Amino acid sequence: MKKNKFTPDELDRILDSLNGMKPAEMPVFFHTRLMAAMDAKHESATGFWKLVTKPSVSLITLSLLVVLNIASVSYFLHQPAQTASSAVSGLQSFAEEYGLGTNTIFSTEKMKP
Amino acid sequence: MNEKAFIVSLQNGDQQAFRQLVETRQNMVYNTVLSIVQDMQEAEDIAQEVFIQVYQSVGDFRGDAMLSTWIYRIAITKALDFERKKKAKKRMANLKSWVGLGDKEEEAIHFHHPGISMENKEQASLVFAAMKKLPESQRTAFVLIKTEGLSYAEAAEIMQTSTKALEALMHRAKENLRKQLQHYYHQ
Repeated sequence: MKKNKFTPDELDRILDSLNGMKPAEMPVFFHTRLMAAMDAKHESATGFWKLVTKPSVSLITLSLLVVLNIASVSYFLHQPAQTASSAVSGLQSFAEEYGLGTNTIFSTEKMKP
Repeated sequence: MNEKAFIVSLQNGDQQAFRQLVETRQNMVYNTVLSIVQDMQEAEDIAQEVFIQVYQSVGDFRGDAMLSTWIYRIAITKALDFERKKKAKKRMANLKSWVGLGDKEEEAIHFHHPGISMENKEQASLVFAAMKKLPESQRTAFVLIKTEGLSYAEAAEIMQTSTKALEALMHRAKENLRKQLQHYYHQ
């Protein structure tokens, strides 16, 4: 069996070593450092808004948004037409090749007597 | 100025009142945080964060508890948060060293609280080292009672618990500290 170094009395004495301790004192000029830290925090928080509200930054951002919008609108205007026509022509060539005689809404005119 | 009027001044952004608050409460905050994090520079940085939070959220303070109780709660929460992050960082460093990506984080040397007398210095540093191994609630109770010298009722108010529950916490904290201290002997 292991022998404990500390007897119960010794343990109590060690625990009691904190009795009567004096509170630690904050290093001097804490208030000054605190104010500097608060100012720095405020600066970094407002720095973002300062940058965003700069006329040049706003103008560049706005132009970028306009260009992006025009590009995406023109892309989506052309994209569906191409897809639909290629899908229909694919279907027609498939039907013709296998002689299925599938009538699409595009071929109804041909069927009329 | 009574406490209510003082709180109103703080809520109105009175810089003089805030300065007075910092000057009267800075040692209380520093001592509490220092007993938890056991590093003087880190304790001062956390104390700064505590006062910044006090300044920013004093407008929401409804006066349900005393101002000092509210500040104690902020200080303890910040210090324990810091400890959690530090532990997580240490675990990550150990994991990295285990897979060969970094060096193992070294164990902090024993902390010597500046308020401890010379003859108790070595024994007290053992207690502080053992305190680091306590669960958060027991550690907080022990810090408030032993290093802050608060009464059980005051500590219970800060920890938002009953005096009986706090007595039980202190009892368990002392038991665990005894076990930890014996563990140091066997190392």
